[in-house]
Amino acid sequence: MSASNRSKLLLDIGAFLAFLIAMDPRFSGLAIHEWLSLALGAVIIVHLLLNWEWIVNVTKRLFVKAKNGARVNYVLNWLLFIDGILIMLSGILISEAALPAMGITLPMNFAWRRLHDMSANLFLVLMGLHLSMHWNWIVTTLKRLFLSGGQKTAAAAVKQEL
Amino acid sequence: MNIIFRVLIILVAASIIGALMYAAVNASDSSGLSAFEEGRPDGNGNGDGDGDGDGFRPAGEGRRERGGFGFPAGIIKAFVLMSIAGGIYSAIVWAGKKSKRAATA
Repeated sequence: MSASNRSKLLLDIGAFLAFLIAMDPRFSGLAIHEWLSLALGAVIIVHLLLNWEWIVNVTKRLFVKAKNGARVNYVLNWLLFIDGILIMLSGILISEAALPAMGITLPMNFAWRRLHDMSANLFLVLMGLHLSMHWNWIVTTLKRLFLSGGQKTAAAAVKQEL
Repeated sequence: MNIIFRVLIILVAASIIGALMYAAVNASDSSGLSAFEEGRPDGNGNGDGDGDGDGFRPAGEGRRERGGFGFPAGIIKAFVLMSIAGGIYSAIVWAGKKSKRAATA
């Protein structure tokens, strides 16, 4: 397995576990929820950088010769990105732990609180679709990582997705 | 250098989207805004955001969110929602493949 695929998978697993904890502020506490979510913003940037070639390739051939699956995946990823920004923005604007701890205070608006909840629920649905679209790659790469000698390479799974 | 440029692209895209959303929400919410404006807590657990029903957060939410580890209902909800979405997607893909196979047979 390539080092790139291994680092992608490990980063994604770590980010997913952190995402699950961050999705439940009643479980983790508000301070962990806010700081972990801010850290996840940086992890998402790394996730995008690791998949930059795919983003550029599909953007270039989106209207020309991309497969329908890649197009749907591309649109879904944009929706995830936009919804992720909405969650981060609304979360920052209603922050009760992270921003006050940094000495920053912003005017409150209840609409952001509602938007934060709604966008978080939408993000879960989009994340479910995102995971199922990449399920072959996840399973294949996990097999390659933990069980050596899998029949199908992770690279082939990536190619199949494209 | 390349990585810095890519990070900048991501941050600029995020900033543009975020600014548009901020403007849209503020524009659409300008009439009812003042009724919900409340004081912000000082970071030590004081202030109006303590979930006691008279502050910014809806009643019953704040205190439990501030506390330690509790029952992970949100994590279970996350798994359920993601599973439903993934299941629906898989069913649609499976049905599409089946109908394609039936058409070619």
